Amino acid sequence: MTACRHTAIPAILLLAAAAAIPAGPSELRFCLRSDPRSFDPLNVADESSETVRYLTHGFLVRMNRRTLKLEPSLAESWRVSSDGRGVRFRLRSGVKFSDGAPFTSADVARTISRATDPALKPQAGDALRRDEGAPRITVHNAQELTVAFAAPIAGLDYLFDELPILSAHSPLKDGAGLGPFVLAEYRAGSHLNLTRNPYYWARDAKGAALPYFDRVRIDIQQNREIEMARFRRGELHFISALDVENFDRLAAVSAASARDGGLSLESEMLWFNQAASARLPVHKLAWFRSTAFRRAISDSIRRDDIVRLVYKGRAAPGYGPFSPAARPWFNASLKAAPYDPQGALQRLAAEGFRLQSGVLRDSGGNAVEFSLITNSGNRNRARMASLIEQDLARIGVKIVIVPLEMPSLLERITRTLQYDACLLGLVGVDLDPNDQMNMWLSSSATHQWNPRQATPETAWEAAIDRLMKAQAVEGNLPKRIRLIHEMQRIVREQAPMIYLAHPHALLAVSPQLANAEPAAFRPRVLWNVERLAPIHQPEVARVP
Amino acid sequence: MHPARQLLIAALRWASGVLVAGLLAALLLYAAPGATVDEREIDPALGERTRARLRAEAGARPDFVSYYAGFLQSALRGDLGTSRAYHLPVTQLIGERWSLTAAAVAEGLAAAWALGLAGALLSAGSRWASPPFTAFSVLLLCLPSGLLAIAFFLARLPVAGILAAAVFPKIYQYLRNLLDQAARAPHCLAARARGIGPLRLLLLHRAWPLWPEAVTLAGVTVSTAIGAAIPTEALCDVPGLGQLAWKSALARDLPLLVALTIAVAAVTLGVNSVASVAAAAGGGRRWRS
Amino acid sequence: MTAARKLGCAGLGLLYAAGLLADLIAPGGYAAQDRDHPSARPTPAHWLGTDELGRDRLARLVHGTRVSLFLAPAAAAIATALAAVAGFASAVVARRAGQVLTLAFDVLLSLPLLFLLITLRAALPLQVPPWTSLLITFTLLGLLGWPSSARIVRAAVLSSRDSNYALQARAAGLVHSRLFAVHLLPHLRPVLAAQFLLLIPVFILGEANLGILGLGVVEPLPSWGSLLAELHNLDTLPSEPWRTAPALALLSAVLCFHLAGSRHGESPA
Repeated sequence: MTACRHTAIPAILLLAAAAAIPAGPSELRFCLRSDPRSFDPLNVADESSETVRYLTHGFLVRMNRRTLKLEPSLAESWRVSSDGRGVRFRLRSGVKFSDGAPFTSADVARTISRATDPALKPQAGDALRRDEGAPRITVHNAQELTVAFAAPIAGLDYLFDELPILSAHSPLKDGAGLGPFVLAEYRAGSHLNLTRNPYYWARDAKGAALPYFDRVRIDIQQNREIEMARFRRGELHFISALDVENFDRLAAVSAASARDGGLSLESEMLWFNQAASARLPVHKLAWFRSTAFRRAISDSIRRDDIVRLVYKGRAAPGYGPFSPAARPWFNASLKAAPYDPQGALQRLAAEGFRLQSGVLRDSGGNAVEFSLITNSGNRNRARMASLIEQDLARIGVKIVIVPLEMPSLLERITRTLQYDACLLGLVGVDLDPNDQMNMWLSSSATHQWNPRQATPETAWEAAIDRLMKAQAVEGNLPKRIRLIHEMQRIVREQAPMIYLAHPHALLAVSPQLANAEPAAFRPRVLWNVERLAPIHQPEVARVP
Repeated sequence: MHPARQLLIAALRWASGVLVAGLLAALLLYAAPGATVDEREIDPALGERTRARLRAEAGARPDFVSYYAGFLQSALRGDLGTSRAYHLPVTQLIGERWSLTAAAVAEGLAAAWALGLAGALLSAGSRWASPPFTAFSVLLLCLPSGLLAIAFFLARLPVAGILAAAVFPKIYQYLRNLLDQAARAPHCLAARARGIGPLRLLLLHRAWPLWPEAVTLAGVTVSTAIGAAIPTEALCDVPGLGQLAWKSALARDLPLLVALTIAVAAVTLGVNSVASVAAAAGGGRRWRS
Repeated sequence: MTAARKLGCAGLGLLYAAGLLADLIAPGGYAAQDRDHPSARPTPAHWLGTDELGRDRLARLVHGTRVSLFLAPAAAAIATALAAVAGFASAVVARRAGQVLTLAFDVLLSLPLLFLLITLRAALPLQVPPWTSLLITFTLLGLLGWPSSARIVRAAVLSSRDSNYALQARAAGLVHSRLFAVHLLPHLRPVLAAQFLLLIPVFILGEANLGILGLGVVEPLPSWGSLLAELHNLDTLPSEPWRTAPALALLSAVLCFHLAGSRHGESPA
């Protein structure tokens, strides 16, 4: 009996190891939170579609998400003209689309023409389309072309990190891509399967064809707890966004799997509704339009408590439109907003507000109370709202927290404007300040606190408009940085958006995944997907 | 009444119920806030033109009467429209998923009925069986569905189990109470007085006469199970009709949601009509015998 | 009264007393944040520890008891009464009218009533006081939660109406109203009792789900439903068992309702 047991144990271990080693083709497995809303590579406006596009399409250049520098991709070299109006690309030779069609300058020219076509208005051309007209494209030969704009564009070469190159002549039309994988199957609400692009151009240092993985399996998984459980079972290679609770749980049992990517570009903020068309009571609109009122509210919120209690230290207090991770744009001379309720009360007193029996009243005797809407189902925001509610109670301000499901909230902040204040987050995707352009221009629909102004209603909004427009065409980087820093100073001074926190990018990466270099910028783990490789180990990152 | 005429009237009633359900669902969705908004509109990274296009797409819908008339016309041709959220034909989405939900609902109902019926009979027959079954049914009622979904996932149990957990307490408690009441009925007292054995008394005199009520309950539990499939599939990310209904509600996907409501109404009305007819027939037979 | 009923009544008495005396049991209030001691384990100062914002879990539980244990049974009673009236009416009115009513139950069962709630929320002002919002929520739950039970009530009434004793009563010249009131209504008791008991936990949990629509309990006011919604990290429960207190409270309450309403063990005679 004893002998039997002794021989059985190694046999069981061998069987277990054999079962854990993936047989046959290697498969990269991860989840998306929602279905891709579009497979049109030029019309991608959500994270899931962007992820699929990143896997299936090629780009002229690629920003290294760790160094934030541009690297050659389909273009082996490029040069931006000294006036910042044009860029000349030299393309790689011998590259083919996923259906075998050759890749040439004509494909790039055709892609840019389509992206900037004023009639088609595809999303991918948003950054390239200019009021001055479409860019002029000069094809020098099959491998070289120049793209020239009528006016200078700041950070011009970075724009080509987001433009997927389509084939001009491929029989598969937009179905043919230059990315490392090809979409093989999509089942709505369930999964996507991608297979290796047999014509993918990149090779590793030893000359082996990339990507290393043969297939990609993407499951649509909305439930974060189940996603986490699947990761811990070894069914997934990574999770690109973890909440802090799951991160801490994972770190407690498998420190190697829990990766803190550092500060992200994301911001959590609240703003007051300042739109004259909002049909708010006159006294409320007056509060919300008062800089002293907004600054007082901002100074009464303990951001360090938000960081400590909501994010368990894995965030920075809200500074302004740029997180400290957004270098060189972040204005480091701005310190975190102070917690100063006494100073806040003094500011308010100067505007005619007074604290009576614990209730703050305006000069007309109206008690200061307002509703704060936020999207339901977000635990962090619910906690932030609770902290803010208690903080503001100390200066006699009463708030009513109203979580709303997203469509209802959107209806209020984009259509009816029936709300007092809103607590939401902004997911910064691109490092470049132009990514936020539409939020700051007073004429924009996403100028949330007072959208679609015919002309700037305040001097400071006019100043921000000028600064944002000037930086967009400034080719000199130090000058451009100065403009952005000045814009941040005004935002801090006027507090149209009250920034609360900049969370860290928290990820889970299985030790079974080699070459992962997770970054704070999207696509966080996948940005070097062609180099990600499986490690065939029988038991890694298995968490009890 | 002639059976053919009866059948025709029942079919007309069913069809009118289904149409009214679709109409009311569309009306509710038309009135709900957020139906003409696209979440991507607030993304400042998108250009003004792209956002204007998204806004126009989200806001483009005819007036209610034209919409529903057009929907019915297309539906008669087998075209239920295109999903706003998935950009796929609604018939394709439903066709890909219905079998998964149907199987889960059928398995869940079978398990719930097996357990519920057994529990009710055992509890009615033995005072010792009642506390554990009652406690179990109460426990299931008190567990949040999110917690149940995670627990089932971790235990690698099928989703049908969650549906069974949602339906079982209803079956058990209704049947249990009805069986208790039947024990006090005169015919049971008379049967006991005549010395009929407890098992025979339970099965033939207490349980068997209750089958018309049980059939009605069966009809209702089908609706309960379908209703439970919506949060369950959404929480467990099961790509069935329940998940589709949940996502279509969040996305205010009018064509998809109206089609799903019509499908649910068709099943609910159909099952409940059959249950009513069976119960009525059974009721007559029971008391005549 | 059986021992089970006594036990159930005593348990309910204790729970209701805890809800009524919440201010005495937890004088610090449910919203006070001890920000220096978040997620604390149980201590003499905080018997059930604190939550992520440093709020006393016991205070939140007893104040949540007040919300859930008073309003959910009331909503269940509304739904049960509506089911009784609608089910009874559909069984006793003329055949065609009864069929139309039954059809209406089925249509109501099929509708995405979520949108009715969303629309209603949009029609309400944002600054609804918390307790008013709660009352609206539970009333809505009561008003919308009856159609499935109405069908079962109808079936029970129909079978009682066709029973031998009803036939005999009619033959003996008993008027319809007396027949229904004295002989048929009491037969609905088990169906209605089951309905009432089933709906209490359903409404307590359902209230938390309505939070996503901006209805129901909103921060910082606690309810059992919102406290239960925090139990999403299953794997931390064994090391922090005190977090299961809201689940145990709900379980105890529903069990006590069952025991208090139980006729099991009573003589059938």
